[in-house]
Amino acid sequence: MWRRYLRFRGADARADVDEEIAFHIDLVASSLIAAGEAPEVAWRAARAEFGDLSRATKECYRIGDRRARRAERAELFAAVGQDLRYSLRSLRGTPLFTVGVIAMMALAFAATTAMFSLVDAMFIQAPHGLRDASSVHRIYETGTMPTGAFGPSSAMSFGRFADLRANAHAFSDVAAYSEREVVVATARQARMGRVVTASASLWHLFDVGPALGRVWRDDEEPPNTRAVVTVLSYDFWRDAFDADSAILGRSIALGGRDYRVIGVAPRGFSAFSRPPVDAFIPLTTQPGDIAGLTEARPAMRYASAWLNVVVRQRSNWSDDAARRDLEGAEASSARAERSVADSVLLAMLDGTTRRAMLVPLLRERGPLRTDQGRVVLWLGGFSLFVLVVAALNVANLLRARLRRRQREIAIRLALGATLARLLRLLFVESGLLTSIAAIAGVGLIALLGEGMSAVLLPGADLPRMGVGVRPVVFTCGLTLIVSSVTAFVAALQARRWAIPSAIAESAHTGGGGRRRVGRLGLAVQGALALSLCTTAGLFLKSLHNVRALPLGYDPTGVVVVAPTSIADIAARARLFDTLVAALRQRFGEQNVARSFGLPFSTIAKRVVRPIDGDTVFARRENIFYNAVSASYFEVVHTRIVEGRAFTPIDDSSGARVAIVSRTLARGLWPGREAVGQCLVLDRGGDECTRVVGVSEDTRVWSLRGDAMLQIYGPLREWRTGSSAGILVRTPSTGVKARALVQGAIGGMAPSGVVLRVSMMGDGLDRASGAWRIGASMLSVFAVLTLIVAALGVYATTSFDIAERERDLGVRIALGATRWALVRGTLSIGARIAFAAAVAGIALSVAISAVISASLFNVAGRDIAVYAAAIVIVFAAFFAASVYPALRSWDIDPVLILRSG
Amino acid sequence: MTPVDVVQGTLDMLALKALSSGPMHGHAVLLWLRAATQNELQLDGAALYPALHRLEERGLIDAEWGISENNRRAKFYKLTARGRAALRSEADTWQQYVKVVARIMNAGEQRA
Repeated sequence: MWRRYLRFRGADARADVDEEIAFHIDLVASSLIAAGEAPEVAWRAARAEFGDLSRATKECYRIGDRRARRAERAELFAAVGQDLRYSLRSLRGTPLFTVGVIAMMALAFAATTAMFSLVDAMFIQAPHGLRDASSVHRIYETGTMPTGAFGPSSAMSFGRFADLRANAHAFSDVAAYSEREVVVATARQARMGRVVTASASLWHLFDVGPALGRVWRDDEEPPNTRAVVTVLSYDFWRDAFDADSAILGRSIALGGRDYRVIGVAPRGFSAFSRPPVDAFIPLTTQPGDIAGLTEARPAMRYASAWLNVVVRQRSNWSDDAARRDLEGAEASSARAERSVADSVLLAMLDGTTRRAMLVPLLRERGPLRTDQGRVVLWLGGFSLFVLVVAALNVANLLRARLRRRQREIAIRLALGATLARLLRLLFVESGLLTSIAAIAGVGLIALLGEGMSAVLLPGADLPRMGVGVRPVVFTCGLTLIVSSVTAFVAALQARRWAIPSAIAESAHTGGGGRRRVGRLGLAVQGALALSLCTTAGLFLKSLHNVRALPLGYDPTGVVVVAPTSIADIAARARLFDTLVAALRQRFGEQNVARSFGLPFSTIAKRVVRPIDGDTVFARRENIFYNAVSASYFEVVHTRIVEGRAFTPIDDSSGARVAIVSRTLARGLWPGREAVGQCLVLDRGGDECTRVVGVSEDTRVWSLRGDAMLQIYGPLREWRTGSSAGILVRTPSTGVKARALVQGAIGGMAPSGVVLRVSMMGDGLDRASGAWRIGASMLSVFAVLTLIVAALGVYATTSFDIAERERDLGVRIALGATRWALVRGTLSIGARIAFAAAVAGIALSVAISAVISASLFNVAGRDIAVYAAAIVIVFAAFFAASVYPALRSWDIDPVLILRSG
Repeated sequence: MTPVDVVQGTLDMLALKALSSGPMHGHAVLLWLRAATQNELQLDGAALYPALHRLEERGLIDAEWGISENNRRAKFYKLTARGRAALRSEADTWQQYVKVVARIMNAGEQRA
């Protein structure tokens, strides 16, 4: 059968066609000649009688070539199938090797797939359903104020958004949205949920239609009407309403207000927000004054920056022209803002310049890239280190396996097997191992991705690690590259055996050349492992420095109770009083306080003017205000360094008092006592707020830079506004602390109100997330890489000893001591480790130059970290070399010499 | 009578029919078809040989090199089991087609 196919290979197939047609023409010509025609005439007539010879020949060639290609493919598939069966048999025969390689590679693939899924979600993948993502941008604002430069900032006021929508011509769609945590109340339960509040134009940006019903239209927003409607997310509709198609027209309470359900968003849709999102509502249904939506107070339209603005650039506008158009619209909006501002606001606006800018849609690709985003990007690169180390190890191990079969392979090559055939076998074997490992790695992430995110990235504001189409495609690409590289590296060795003299070599003689290749591979692995250890060490030290940073307060064991917004002021005040009373009874009066601001969560700026103080300093700096109850400083352990803390009388007497932070005191009244001085808050005439105390500096918003300038006032000032929460110092931490507090206030929340209970340190955890993520993930990668590299050293050293057993036996017979042989083997390991250290340090220095901006109070070339990494790598290589080296102790020279 | 051209799509069926009487080389198939149609079919080697190669590609006929009646190396074709089944099927289709066309042609004549 194969011979028949071979007849149709290349020139043979065409020669067959030529011969067949020549036979036909010959026959016809012969019969004409036999009938009496002259030979020349007969031949011409025979060709003419055949018809279009050229066309027929080409057609037959084409058919023949097609069959030949098909036959070649079939032969190739059969050969690959044969190689596959052979590889499977061979791998089944060495189960330890097979399982070890697959496990090693699977972990490496899991690491790279997991990191790619994060990188993809944060940097590459456009939101689901977005039409023509490349034309969609965000608008940020930047500029200067009397207090200094601000921005870039993604938050815009409603007034600015409305003006841009009206006046920017370069964009076909201008949309705004914001996210809010609100109480979502269904018949079954009331819980905190996430709602996206958006303009109707948001839906124009997407190609996907609702799964059920419709979305709200432009004419359902002011000035036409103000439809109080909602579009539920698909998951929320499925989970809370069992995907009931009769949901349309029903009411659902969101944030204490009833919304009529008009539609369900398509599956997987969350607009520009990270899932989960429970519902979408028109932004014009927000509380009027806060959002600045009321016509009665037009100045409020510009007061609060709370919206994200997204635009679609028209295709016939260039980027430069669009930017200029945007800047023009921004300038026009600034003029409109001034036209409705009162005199005080005008004074502020006088020193303010603003500029709108177009930035990439994905936040992490814009100017507001977070530390976490930066770290995730690097972790993506570092995960490839793990894969490279694993791949080099596999290549080394494959080469070692091949060496065992050196004689057999050399004979096959000498008997006619081609080198290409051998390479294909190596590629199939390598591909099989790598593919199984890749499937195992992807499966690991698919099953454990959520759990790994919870363990390795607790509290991080990141997408969940997972498996989607793109990470799988990425892994397939990596699989191809890795299997090709490992097969190629192994084949570099095998091609030398095409030389006939290799047949005479025994399996126990070896060339220094191939050992050098193996050792080079080990040195590269060691260098990568060392650089990962160093980088992990730098992040661990950064995390330690963050945790050791003096905050000016102690969040350990402090629980925050924050009722969700209650519209009725009196009801809110009653609830707070009830909760505070219950908590005081349980934990003691000195352990319960109230505060408007929460660290890394809620702060408010205030305009301050010192009477008889440095007004220039006050105007230049950002000063933050927090309203607190009397026991606040005691509960959070913020020291009062001068004067006194607030007392219950301060709350009830109505005296205007304040406590300032130490640096603020020095700034406002340099060289003088702050206690007893007067401040004017906001624009309240000359009414004196007297300083009664000075507190230590605190860090409540940023871990970097100087501590915040802070003023504290008694809580009564804020009673009519929202209050962030109740702070309770408990004797426990974490889940136990929350459980204690929940036990004390369980059942006190009215229907439709949710009491959020969290730890005061949660905000700090989020702020330090970048270092926690870097430290945890890099430590995992470093340990993984070190184990893989050490296994490689162990396997390579073991094989070297086995290969040189005869040589070593002869040396012992000639008088060499066993200890000298062990030392010799260990010294090889030491040399590899030394080479790895040199290369690793150079790589670490280069890496630290890139990541130094993300470290926290750590030099990129921290000697202690580098030294520790070097010691760890040396120790790992030494430990991996010791056992195989000690095997040479058991070599019996007599047996070696007898075996000949 | 002027020879008629082969109706498009029927050459394969004709070649299969020729080979149903036994293995032949290409020239013999051509002669068989001319003899069977008393030279009333316009068919040359340029049309036949590609058809034979296509049939071989489809597995309806098999080919083997052998020695011809004039002691020369020639490529002989023979019908395979699939080819026999295909011939039966195409012949049935053709017969049906001829009946239908005849009915149409006769219907027009009757009215006239």
